[in-house]
Amino acid sequence: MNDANDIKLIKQVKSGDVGVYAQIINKYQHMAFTLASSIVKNKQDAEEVTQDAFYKAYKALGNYKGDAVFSTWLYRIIYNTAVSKIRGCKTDTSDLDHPEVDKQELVNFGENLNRLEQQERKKILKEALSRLKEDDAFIILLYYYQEKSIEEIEQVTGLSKSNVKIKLHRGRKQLQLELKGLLRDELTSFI
Amino acid sequence: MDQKKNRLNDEVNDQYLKDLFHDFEPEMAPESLKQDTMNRVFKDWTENAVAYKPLINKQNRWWIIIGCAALVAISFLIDGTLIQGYINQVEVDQSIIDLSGVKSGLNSVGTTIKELPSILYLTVIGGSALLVLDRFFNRLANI
Repeated sequence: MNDANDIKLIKQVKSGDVGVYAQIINKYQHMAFTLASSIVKNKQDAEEVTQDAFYKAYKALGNYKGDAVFSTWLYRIIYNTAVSKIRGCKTDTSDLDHPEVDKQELVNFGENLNRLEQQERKKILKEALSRLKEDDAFIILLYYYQEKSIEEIEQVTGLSKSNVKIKLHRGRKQLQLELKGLLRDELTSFI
Repeated sequence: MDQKKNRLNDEVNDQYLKDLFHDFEPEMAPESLKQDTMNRVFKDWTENAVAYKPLINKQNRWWIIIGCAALVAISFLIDGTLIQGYINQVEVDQSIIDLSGVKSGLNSVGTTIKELPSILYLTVIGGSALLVLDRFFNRLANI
């Protein structure tokens, strides 16, 4: 569902009131930066990617007809810009094995995580996300934090539905492993 | 059995992550991001002139000019009295269509226009000239 305020702001920018674009940047800059970071894994590059993406979005605003939700449209630009940035300088990202997780083990892990303070949980989650593969972290953020549907993620990434589901499944498992590893370190440091 | 276990794992995992992400906050974008982006946007805005779409496109413009020229030429070739004669020849049955009302109406409009003070004409002409000049200078500024 498109935000009525977004539509109003976009119309103003299109009619020549360019200064209003700052309000759009204000609203989306943090999420855009987080998404860019999840792919490029580097703050400096993420800033560059976010800046480029916002500029590209401004230039393409004339083509935006409001068919898609504005955030979905913007995140697609961010995704494409970030992927272009890492293309070429990509290091080997061989698939990791994902051992099956036992339900009881998962409950214990959840309990341990709940014992931590909210701030520490946030820190651990951010760290775990930064360790995921580019696409996986991006899709996890859209699905769990932005609560985008699989169809919307398809639109953002241009990947097929089954591909999105596979990446989501893989990312979820990997995130859990990373969280467990980080949690173990955190608990060890307490002892 | 394994498939069932996997699905159960996924469901527990999914719900757990959903809850975990409730606390998540996106990273703060650097202060410079908005300013630098807006600088690029303003630079682009000032570099690219506002494009005015002409009311009449170039191709049609030539046809309109040719058409007007043809009309002027025809009007010079035809004697006005000839047209008047044609109109008089058309005999309208007054019992079916009563044109006397229309004629008197046109006469009164003509008299009213004739009696209007000349200042009104001058004001209308002046206003129109200003609008034309404004549009002309607007276009000139964007060349």
